[in-house]
Amino acid sequence: MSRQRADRRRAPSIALATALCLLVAQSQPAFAYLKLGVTIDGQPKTLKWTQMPVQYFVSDTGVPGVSSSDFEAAVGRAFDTWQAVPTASIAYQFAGITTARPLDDDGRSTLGFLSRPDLDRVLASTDFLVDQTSGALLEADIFFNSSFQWSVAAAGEPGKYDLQTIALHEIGHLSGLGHSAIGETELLPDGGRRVTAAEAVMFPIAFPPGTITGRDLKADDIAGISDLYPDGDFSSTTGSISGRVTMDGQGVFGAHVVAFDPANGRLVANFSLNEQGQFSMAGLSPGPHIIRVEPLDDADLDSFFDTSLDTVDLDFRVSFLNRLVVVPRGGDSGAIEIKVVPK
Amino acid sequence: MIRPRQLVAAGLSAAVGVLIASGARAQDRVAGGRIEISAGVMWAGHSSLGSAAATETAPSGRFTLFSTSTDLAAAAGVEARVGVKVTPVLELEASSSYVRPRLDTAVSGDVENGAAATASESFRQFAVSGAVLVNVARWRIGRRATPFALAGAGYLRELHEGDTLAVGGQTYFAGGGIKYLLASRPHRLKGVGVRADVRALVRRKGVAFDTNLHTMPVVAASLFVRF
Repeated sequence: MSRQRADRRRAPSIALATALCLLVAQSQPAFAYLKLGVTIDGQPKTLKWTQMPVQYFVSDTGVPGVSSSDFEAAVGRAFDTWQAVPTASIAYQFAGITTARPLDDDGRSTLGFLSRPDLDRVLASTDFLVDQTSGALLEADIFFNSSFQWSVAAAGEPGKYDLQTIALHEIGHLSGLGHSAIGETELLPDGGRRVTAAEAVMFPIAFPPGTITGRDLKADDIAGISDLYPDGDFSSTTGSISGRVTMDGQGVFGAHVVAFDPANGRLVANFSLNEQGQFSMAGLSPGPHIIRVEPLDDADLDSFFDTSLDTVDLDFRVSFLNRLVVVPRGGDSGAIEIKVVPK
Repeated sequence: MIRPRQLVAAGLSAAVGVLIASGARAQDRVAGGRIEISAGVMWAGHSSLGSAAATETAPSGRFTLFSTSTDLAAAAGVEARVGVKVTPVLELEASSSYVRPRLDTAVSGDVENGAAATASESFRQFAVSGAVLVNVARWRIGRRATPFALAGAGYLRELHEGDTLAVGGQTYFAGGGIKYLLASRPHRLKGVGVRADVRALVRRKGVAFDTNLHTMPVVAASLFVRF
């Protein structure tokens, strides 16, 4: 078993993340969005829970304005939101209040506050305990940084981060999802970023304090959790798009490929995840899609990839595929090639 | 003894009878035969299928990533129909058609200055429909040409590129045209002619991204035979 830090939700003005190892199965295309993974004996394994329901505990400590019971209720609503996805089978169960703290290796998935003033741009973080033979998740702890001000008010509170919103993002990680790049940011003078828009709860940078727009899952999140834990008729009622992103005949690594369905406005995305530029997106609604490709320039690269291992291609222009790609019901579009040109 | 008033009445009756008989014969000359089978070509004009924007959630409202506008390009196809004359004036028709149009979605206004582009796909469209046709004998042109008006509704079955996905839709149409009898005879094959018509067609769903009604012109020409 090994403990791995998989994510930290960042405050809007982050300049650069501190240590963060979002692990991605990079030797083969993953299906839809980023799924967390580890490499075991040279083989990529997707991190996921193998036993349901996923039990979680809540620490018995609160912060000003958020009591332990407020905390339990807010994270409970966030768990319920993920569990309510009709096409996903993941289930969670509140197991009780504990005096343990997040990050204790006790075999219990624990959510709670920790005071981490040193992580002055990290709102919350999810750590995993992983079975190194199977990739199965054994424990996942989420800490919320009590150095920030938190709120559980129904309408949010100015100057305070909405606990339910941030919990929703972290529970996505706890479930095995990586970051989505469906979001837009502006660079700040200090090198940090401000989010102008996002269409995925799993976007790595939070909206400004006081905002509660992130309490609902988006199409990309739903596709992701359903792909990890498919249930019901998910596989037969949705489809996928796969193919390659190339530039001058060579594969492009780390290109952000977005599929837009004009019939329902849904945006689902993934990355080209190997040197051949291969990508694949599952959980798409049947019908024609617009395909847009962009360089990964709206968040720090290490929010998505292990940049010590891979070089992400950024030197190309935003492009649209000149054909509508039809997603069949319960099948794949067939390989497509998206050619991009240098900036 | 026949009184003058009765004589007048009888004369009027006879005149009306002659007029009706004459009208029926004229109708027969133009329309002769009860069943009409036709086949020909059709052209469906361009239609705008509306617009949609790719948007993201912003702290206050929506943020547009890019916009799209979709059109159904004009296309030619084939059409066949069977009509049954219910009365000299009224016919019921069943028809089917096949067209292979193109769906064009223009993308513009990308927030990161992606070049405007058009994403397209060709698809196959099958349609079956039923219509009521009214022969307007009073506007007959010469002895062989009869104008008509028609209205009907139909069902669309559209197969996306590669036949990967089938979708259904509805059509409603109204229009008019003219039938010209090239030859007629009192045998089993009672007549041969040509037909041309223009319709305003309203379609709903199918490959359209929305559920709104979209209008397009349709022009058709065909050869018919009557039995």
